[in-house]
Amino acid sequence: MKLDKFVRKTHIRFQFDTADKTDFFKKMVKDITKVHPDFEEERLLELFYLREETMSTGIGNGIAIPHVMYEKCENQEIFVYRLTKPIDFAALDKKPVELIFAMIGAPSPSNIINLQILAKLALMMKHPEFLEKLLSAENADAFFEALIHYD
Amino acid sequence: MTDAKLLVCIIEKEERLEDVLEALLEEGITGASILDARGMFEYMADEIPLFAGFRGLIQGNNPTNKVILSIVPDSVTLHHAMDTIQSVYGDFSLPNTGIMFSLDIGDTRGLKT
Repeated sequence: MKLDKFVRKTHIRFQFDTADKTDFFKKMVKDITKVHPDFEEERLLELFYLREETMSTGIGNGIAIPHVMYEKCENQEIFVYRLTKPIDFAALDKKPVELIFAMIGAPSPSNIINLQILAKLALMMKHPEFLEKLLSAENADAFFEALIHYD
Repeated sequence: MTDAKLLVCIIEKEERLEDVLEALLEEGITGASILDARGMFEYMADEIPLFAGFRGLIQGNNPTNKVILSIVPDSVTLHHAMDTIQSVYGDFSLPNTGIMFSLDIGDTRGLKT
């Protein structure tokens, strides 16, 4: 599966300023609702918080993949946040998080596409060379090119 | 290659295991191995933190399944056994029930007749 169907260059936020995890989610849903004015900020925030309550989506190595299934979402979308300063995300390895892939998925009985995207992201982030390429990208364009050309 | 077949029956409704084993006995099948198993989705939701949010979306409450492995002597016995299991267990085509299939067997050692 290629991610270019789900992530757009316009959905990459390079040098995203945030103070902490709570602040990040608030800013993130505000950002997403600017792109999708029909999405409800409060509802989205609630969904992301509920997911984090289950267990942190900070998967380790400075990466987090928060994700929700949202009834108003018609297709899967990924928003990418490259943080200016790493933040504590209660990640599994307790390391601060500096790169966040936020996925909003369309609810479906099998959730197959949602699961495929999460699995793909998780697998991609396990390759140190690829991760280094992403983290060393100097701008959003370079980041996007690296991300969509992963094989 | 022998005429024997391996019957693989994975049941999600663990409480029906007794019925399935009785169905096998009824068909004269007295040997089977019963294994505890977990479905891939259940395992991922429970053991891989990234997928923990999907726990609530899993239908059914059984955390484990039962896998029944039995070598049957021939295809006639196999089909009788599968029909009898289905008659006591229910329709395997429904969601959250399980799956039943067979495999041809090559060489064997230790097969009791």
